[in-house]
Amino acid sequence: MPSVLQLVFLFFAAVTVVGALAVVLVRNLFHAALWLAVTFLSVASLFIVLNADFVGLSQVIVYVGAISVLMLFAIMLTEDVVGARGLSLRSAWPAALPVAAGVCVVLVRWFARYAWLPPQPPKPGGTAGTIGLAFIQKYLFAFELASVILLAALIGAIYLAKEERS
Amino acid sequence: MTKPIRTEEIEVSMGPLHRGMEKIAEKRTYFQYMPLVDRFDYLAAMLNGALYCMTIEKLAGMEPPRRAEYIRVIMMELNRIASHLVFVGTLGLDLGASTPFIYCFREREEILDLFDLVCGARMTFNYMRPGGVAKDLPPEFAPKCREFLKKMPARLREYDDLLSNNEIFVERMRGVAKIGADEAVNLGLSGPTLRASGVGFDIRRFEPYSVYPEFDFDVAVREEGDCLARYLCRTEEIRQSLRIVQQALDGLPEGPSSTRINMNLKPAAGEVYHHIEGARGEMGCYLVSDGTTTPVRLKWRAPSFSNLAVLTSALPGWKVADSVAIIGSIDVVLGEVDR
Amino acid sequence: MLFDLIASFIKAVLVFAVVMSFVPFLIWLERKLVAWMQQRIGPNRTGPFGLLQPIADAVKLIIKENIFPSGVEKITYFLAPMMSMIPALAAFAVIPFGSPVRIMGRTVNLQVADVNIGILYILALSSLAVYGAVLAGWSSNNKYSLLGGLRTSAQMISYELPIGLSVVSIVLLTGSLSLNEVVRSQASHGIWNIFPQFLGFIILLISYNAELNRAPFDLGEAESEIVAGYHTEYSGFRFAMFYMGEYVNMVTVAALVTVLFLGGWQAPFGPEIPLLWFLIKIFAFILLYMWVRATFPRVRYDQLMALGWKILVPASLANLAMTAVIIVLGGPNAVRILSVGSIVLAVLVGLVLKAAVALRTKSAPGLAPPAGAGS
Repeated sequence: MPSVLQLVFLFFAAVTVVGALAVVLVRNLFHAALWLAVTFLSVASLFIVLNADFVGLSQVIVYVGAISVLMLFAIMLTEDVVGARGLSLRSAWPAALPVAAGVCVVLVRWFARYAWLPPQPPKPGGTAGTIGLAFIQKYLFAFELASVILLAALIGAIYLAKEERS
Repeated sequence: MTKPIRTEEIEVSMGPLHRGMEKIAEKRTYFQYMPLVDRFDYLAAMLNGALYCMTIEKLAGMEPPRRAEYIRVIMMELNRIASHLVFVGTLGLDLGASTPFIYCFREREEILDLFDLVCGARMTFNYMRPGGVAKDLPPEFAPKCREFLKKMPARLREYDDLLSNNEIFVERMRGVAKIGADEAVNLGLSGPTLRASGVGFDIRRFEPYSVYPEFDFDVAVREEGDCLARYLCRTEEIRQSLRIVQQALDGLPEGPSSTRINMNLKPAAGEVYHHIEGARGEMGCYLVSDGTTTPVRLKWRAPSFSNLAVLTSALPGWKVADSVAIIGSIDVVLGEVDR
Repeated sequence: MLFDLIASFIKAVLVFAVVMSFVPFLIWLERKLVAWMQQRIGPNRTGPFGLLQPIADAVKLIIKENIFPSGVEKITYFLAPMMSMIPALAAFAVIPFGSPVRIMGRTVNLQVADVNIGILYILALSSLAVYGAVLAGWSSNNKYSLLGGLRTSAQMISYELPIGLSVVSIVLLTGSLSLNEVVRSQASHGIWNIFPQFLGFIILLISYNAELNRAPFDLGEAESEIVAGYHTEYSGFRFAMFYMGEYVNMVTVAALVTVLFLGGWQAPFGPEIPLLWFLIKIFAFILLYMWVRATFPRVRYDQLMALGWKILVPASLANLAMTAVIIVLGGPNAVRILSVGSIVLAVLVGLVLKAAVALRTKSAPGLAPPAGAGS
């Protein structure tokens, strides 16, 4: 008999899978982007169910609130995409099938060999503080590297926008 | 993310409001046509009426009494203020500020109350007559008018607080749709729209009519030629008009307010053109008489019609959101565009 | 366990009911207040002082036919109004509106859920609010809706950055993401956050005005440009939901700002009466927004974006850096130094801006010479 939390987990896991499938299968690009947002949201819920509240809410802010909206934005601004037939599995399946099967095999083998941690009790003060400390102590280099990459992306975006205006 | 949405081309389409008003004049006597004149520029009907009467007087070669001239000036300037108040209010409303609109209409109401007192109408007055005005001023007019004049400076400061000194408003108007002096003259602009481009042409000053030479006032001119300049020119004109009304009220001569003339006026055959400084620019009336009771031709030079022409060159290149400010700053009354 | 469950349930229902019943009152208040500011009378036909006007409006909207205009995407069109209202309501769950009270020998937090990362939760939900505009703009099959949806969503995403950055400064001061903790830290500092974070407060004030799509930042529904923006095609109850969502959002933002900057439920003076001070602060904040709406004309879209990206984001970054440095260097005196420093800085910035504006606008109206030299 699974516990309530497990049932909730299974529910969101199912939503994630269905959403991800819909992203690939629906023909309308706008709908695909919306399904992507649904998938992100249910992944965030999974994080929260697993007591990773900070990661979960960051996922909502960054992926659902910003990245998906930007995608929707791009689709809305692109002419002839709305309502047009997007890429579907039907046209490309001979190529997609072996790639997907390969990725699946690799992932399953890797997951099977991975040493999973036992379930952790929830942290009393939330995980935000621990994650913050980890960022500036143990993972400082990776953290700074990521910020440099983002800075580069930012400068690139400004450069592109400037070019277009003149 | 591509270019911001800009106006590329504009076609000014006129005509939907055409009522054949100039043609109607040819089937009416000079007096019968009087009420219709108010419907040209319905926001400044006193000015329309005054122009029409002055043109007839010029045609018939007569002079109204001095008191009538003074009353006309008071009415014209009050009406100019009322018209500019509508401009200020609607411009603010177009830019999303609803409060100045109501404030301006509050003051306009007071002017309309004054008109109501004088002639019983608030919009289309039918107050001017060839040879004077329909009725002398009622005794309670002068005190009420003075009260209004006293109130106005504080009210104008309110508009300044809400619009002229408001950074958002100024930022949306400054530098938008600049019209150079040469371009403004070539396009036949007139009125505040012209004076905002640095051309200080005001008919009241340079081809004086009525009793304007007797008053001390300044012509509001600005050099910038942008939307803000057009706005500031009009607010300054409100102040100058207040000065004129004050002087006219102080110097109001005694005497008759009109001369008796035959209702079936038959001016001698001939043609005449007269123009005055309307609220929106040079307002002109061209009358041809063949000696009968009806004119052969009446032609109205409507300032809004000519000023509208600037849109084809002023709008393209500016953002769609700016078009609201640009059209608003030119202050068009469609009643006189399509006559 | 059962007691907690029942308490949570009652609190959730109560908060929902109170917030929703605020909405008609706020609509009435805004109409009446703006009317008074504009020398009008405002609603006065239905009920005493027109108090029943929003009820009448709601009834009218609810009994209207539900129209699906031709060519709309039915599901997304149906979802959009909900997406604009639900996040605002859900965000209210973590707002603490009073100090804990004792009922039947147990301590009950006056808060639906004491989430220890409540601030993050509210930011996450407010980032979801964009979807209402996006979905409505896209599904309506109308170019004005699309433009309005694009404008609103870009605007909301842009202004979430300064909001997030100024909230982070508060988090630095508090050392916690819990809203309860934020209120408690303001009590222990002995000074409300509005003083040490005065710049953050101003930034948040402007940014939330844009986030709420209220005048002067109501670009998404600028009637002189794009009709009614993303809700052009909506009518009846769905339109009412957009309308209510806007006001629920306003209450939520007011409550959030009260908690973050105005000391939450604490009394500025006199005895602490539960809820009273909280409500007074919320209403003071809402009245401020109504006043702003009655005063300012609408900005242009590029100006809005320039304000957000070129002024507010750098300003909030500077504020964040300043706060961090002073907290590290100032030690126990950090809050006092910040209070004095930020208010002096704000006054200086204000004076400089005022002088700059005055310099630019103050070119006296040119007047033609009074001498009438011929034309």
